[in-house]
Amino acid sequence: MSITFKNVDFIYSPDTPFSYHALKGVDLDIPEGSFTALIGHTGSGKSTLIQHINALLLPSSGEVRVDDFIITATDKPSVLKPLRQKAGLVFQFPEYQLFEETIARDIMFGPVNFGMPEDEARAVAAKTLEMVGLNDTYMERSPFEISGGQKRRVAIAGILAMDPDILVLDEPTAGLDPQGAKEMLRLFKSLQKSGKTIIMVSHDMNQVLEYCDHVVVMNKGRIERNCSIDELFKEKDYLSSLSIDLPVITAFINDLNSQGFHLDHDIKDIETLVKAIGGELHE
Amino acid sequence: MSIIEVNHVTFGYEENKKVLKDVSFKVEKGSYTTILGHNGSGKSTIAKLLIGLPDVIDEGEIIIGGIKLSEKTLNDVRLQIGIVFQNPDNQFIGSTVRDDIAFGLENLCVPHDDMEPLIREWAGKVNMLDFLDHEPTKLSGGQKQRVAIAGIMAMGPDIIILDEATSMLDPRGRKEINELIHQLNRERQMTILSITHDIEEAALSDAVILLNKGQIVSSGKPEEVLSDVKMIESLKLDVPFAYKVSTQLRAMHLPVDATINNEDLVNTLCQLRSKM
Repeated sequence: MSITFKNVDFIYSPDTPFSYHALKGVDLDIPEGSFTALIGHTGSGKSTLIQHINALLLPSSGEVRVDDFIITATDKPSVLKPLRQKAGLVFQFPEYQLFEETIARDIMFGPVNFGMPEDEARAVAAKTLEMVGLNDTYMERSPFEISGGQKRRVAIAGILAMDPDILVLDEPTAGLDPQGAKEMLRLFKSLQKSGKTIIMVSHDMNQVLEYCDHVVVMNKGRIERNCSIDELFKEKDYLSSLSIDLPVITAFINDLNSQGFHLDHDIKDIETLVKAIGGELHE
Repeated sequence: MSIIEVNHVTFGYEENKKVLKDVSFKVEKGSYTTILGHNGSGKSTIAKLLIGLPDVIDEGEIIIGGIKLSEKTLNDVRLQIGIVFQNPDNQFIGSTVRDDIAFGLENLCVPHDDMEPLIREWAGKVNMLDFLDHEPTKLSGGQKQRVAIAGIMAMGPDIIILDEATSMLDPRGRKEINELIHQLNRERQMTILSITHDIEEAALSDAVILLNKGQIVSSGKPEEVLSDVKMIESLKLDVPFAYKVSTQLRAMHLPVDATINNEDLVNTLCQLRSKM
């Protein structure tokens, strides 16, 4: 499932005094099977961009291709359901969108809407609920009487139940405690390993370093970087100009290297870092 | 000297479902104290009780600046405390930045002529002076939170409570708010009580309170509380980066003290290297 943007512009409320040019000449290829981080400040165009991936927004000009689906200003796929089944979008704070009487029914809503028989959808709901770390005792509970973190899991299960090939997540771990965030990210990583393409909006560079392999940086409606994680975190001054902090481990390595150490800048985990520091000090 | 005293507080939103169980702690005047705990641990409930929302607790007492919190003293207590909530969109009241900062002052019946200098002073201190006539919808999340803080500071409180006030902000907004709060703590000796998941923020604070399932399980200086790895991990929190690295280096027989502070660890390692 490849995703390509060709010279895409998007303008909100065009030809009105409130007109806002949110995407400017966006050219972008998102590698199939990648775990791509989408980073940038509020208002940089991230949310506008991701809503083009399943045709919630149509480009004002240019073209978006998602696999065989072509989306332009005047043309959108005549049948949107297959596209939306292939590209699942999880908005920020998806728990606000829960609405059914039971958790099972909430998760089943998507698959049933896409034509899956109820029995099958229920089985899928049970399976995806387990994937997000909740057992089947939750199936018949109300989604409104569980904690915020659990609601988030249920909302994500609702998208996973449609088995999308592309999963687009807008800050999926915002507000979750560190353990909850870690469990969620591990789930996304395992989905990537099973062949899915994951696109995640995140402000947490530690997460980006640990889980993503590719990164797109947006600023004022434009794509400024489209590169590997390692390449991005070498650009300390550029990130600093965007007030984006380096991951803790990368900043720590930079601090040591600026005072005489020669540690590999691409180290991503503490064990490798400790070995490298030990190696230099035991020399 | 304690400015906040919470003594044996038990509270539940529903009968038989206690969110806080026999919670006691003190916050020193002028300190930067963090409350850490996982989702659902009762952190936000503590923040709400401190400002008297709701004003009835099941058991125990809360004393703010020497005044015991009750229905009668609610207004006096609220004069001492400002709170910044998580979602910047939920706390904007005025139709412009000026109106929003003025809102609290109007409630305090500050004469109109005295308001404008206060509004300008605090809008200036949070770098929002050029935005006084702007509509809130045109502001970024960080700007909205800064306006919220200006509105609080204009009322002259002694304590600011931050209830995950930066968790919905982008990196720039987060940095703006963190710098502003540290500045208020340092230069104005404001007491800061920050409710957070951010272990690195807690590592830099004066005192840490750990909350689990409505009970305080540990409290004290960050280097003591945050180095209890078993406890931290059992609470679904992260151990500070510097602590993980320094303890693993010690396991390799390197002469490094366990620390939770990145800067200290960098200094130690550079000294070791220079001796080689």
